[in-house]
Amino acid sequence: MLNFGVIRQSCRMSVTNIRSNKMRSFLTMLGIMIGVAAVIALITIIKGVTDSVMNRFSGLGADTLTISAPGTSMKTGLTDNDIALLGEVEGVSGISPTVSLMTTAVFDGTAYDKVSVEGHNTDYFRHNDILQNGRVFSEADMTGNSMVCIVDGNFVKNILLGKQVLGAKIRLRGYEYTVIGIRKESDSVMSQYTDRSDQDGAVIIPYRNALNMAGSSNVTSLEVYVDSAYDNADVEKMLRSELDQIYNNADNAYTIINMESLLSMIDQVRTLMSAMMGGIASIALLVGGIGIMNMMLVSVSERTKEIGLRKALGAEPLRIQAQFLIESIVLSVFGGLIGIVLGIFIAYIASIIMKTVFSLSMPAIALGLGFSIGVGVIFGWAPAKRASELNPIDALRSE
Amino acid sequence: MDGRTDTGSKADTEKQEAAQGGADRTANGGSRRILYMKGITKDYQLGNEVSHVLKGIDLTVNRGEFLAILGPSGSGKSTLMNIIGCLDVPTSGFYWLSGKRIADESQTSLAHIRNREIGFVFQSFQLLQKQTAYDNVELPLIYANMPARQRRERVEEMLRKVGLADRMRYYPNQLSGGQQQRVAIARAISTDPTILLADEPTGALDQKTGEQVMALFHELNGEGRTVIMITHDRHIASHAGRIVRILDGNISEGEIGDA
Repeated sequence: MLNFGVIRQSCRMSVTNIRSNKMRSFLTMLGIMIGVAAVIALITIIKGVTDSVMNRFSGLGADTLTISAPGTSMKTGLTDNDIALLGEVEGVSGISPTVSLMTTAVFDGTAYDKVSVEGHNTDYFRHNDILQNGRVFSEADMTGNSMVCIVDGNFVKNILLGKQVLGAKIRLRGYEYTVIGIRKESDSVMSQYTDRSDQDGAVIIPYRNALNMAGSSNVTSLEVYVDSAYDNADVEKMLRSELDQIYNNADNAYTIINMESLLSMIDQVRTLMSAMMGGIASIALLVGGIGIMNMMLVSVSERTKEIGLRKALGAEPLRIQAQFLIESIVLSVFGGLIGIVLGIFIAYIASIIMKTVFSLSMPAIALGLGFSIGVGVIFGWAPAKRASELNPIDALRSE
Repeated sequence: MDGRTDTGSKADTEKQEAAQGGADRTANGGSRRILYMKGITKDYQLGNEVSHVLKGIDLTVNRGEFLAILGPSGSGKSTLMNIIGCLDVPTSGFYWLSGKRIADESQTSLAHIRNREIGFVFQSFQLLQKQTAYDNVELPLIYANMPARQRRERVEEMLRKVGLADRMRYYPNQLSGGQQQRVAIARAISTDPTILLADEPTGALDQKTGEQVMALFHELNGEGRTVIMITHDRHIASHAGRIVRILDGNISEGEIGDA
């Protein structure tokens, strides 16, 4: 009974109506426009912000547990034995001690005193894709405590000064190191939030060399890599019981940071924030819907005669209702589409200002569109019903 | 309140009337009698008072007739027209249209009957101002669910018939009164209804265009269409082949001279 011709005719008529009442239609659509724009913009902005944070954190690797073990007054850090014990925990695919210090590097007779040194082992390179050029440490480098190093971009720029990088000889604390690799610029959270501008450069050396350099025999910081077949939380639990034994259940001897739980926490916050902002924005949609209802009611009473005529010509009540419902939907969807474009535009500008990732959220667009159709149906229903129930005689008589 | 009041007490009468009202179709092979009314009344409640607008109308119209219902304003002729046009239902009495009893129908089936059986022509044309002549004529065909291609042929044929083939894309306000009424007539006959029902069709036209419109009615009647015209104008009524007069809710057959 509702054939395509009727729907097309209703759509065409509603467009004609909207065009012939431009100002009124615009003001009516404004509510929906603002509502949808707010929903889209807020969701997209939140998504952009959290995506940016996630991107940085995921640079650290989701399957990584970071252990910081300053130890107790009885026992500082972790020994090679302790590390070996932790490495035997089920689900651990690798462990990299992290040793960090600042020292002076000498190249070509010039000393640079702001050079950061990090000690890592081969597991580190297996789980962190940081090499740009050259090679990483081999097992032989580790066991033989080879005097090799990997330098970063700042080091190349500030210290090597355009000289041949790979094979360059630098001196650290009196020992001569050969450059075997260059690391990439990292976008991980550590490098993002570590201001390196006041450094001359950074080098990575085998971790035992770094320990020696620091004058220490125990490691206080570790990255533990979890086999992807295992759950981070389970492995974390086992590591804790191992560490508790090592430190005799002492308090505050160590902390474990689980990247996975951090990420899922961020995700939860994102969902919560989206829902909250969506809720606030839907108030605007509600107001917009009432505006549409108002305009449709006015339109029905203005067009009483037309409704009567249509009934006299054979339009069933349901068809009259459908026509006004379609008009309401066209109005709200039209406003919604403008709102979507506006919302995306606002989110785009915001992403530029806040320097976050701009990513179009398809669910948000679908939501915006769905919202506007929903508003059209819900707030168009009553006016359309009223139109369909008009008595044709009374309707025709009204002048 | 509606025709239902009769159904219990006058069940036998109804059967009898049904035989009369619907029988002609089978008796004559075709349906000579297309409209049959018996004892139609219509009451309106006005405050505490009941106003009897129609007081028992009996009326029979045969296929191909040109009937004028002549009466002054307030005589109940508009109410009668609404009942004939299935825009309203009588308080009591029987009404058969094309062998179908019109009573207690749902709004939806009344809409279908209006669409297929009745072609309305109004005094004030009642065209949709924001739609072209073509769109206006197309409207009843859309409601009849006619396929698009067929619809287009039909609309063009109808507008050609009323001499407006060159004005299809004109809007009502670009047409003269006579032209607008001809669009309305094209619209009224587009679904090929049983009855062309006109309410003061020349009331808003000057005498010359009024005559042209009446000529068109004659032409349509000549093609075998049944025309029922409601008017207060004796001169206009004189175009009809048969005149009934309505006065104070009662109807009587008569000549113009009687008025």
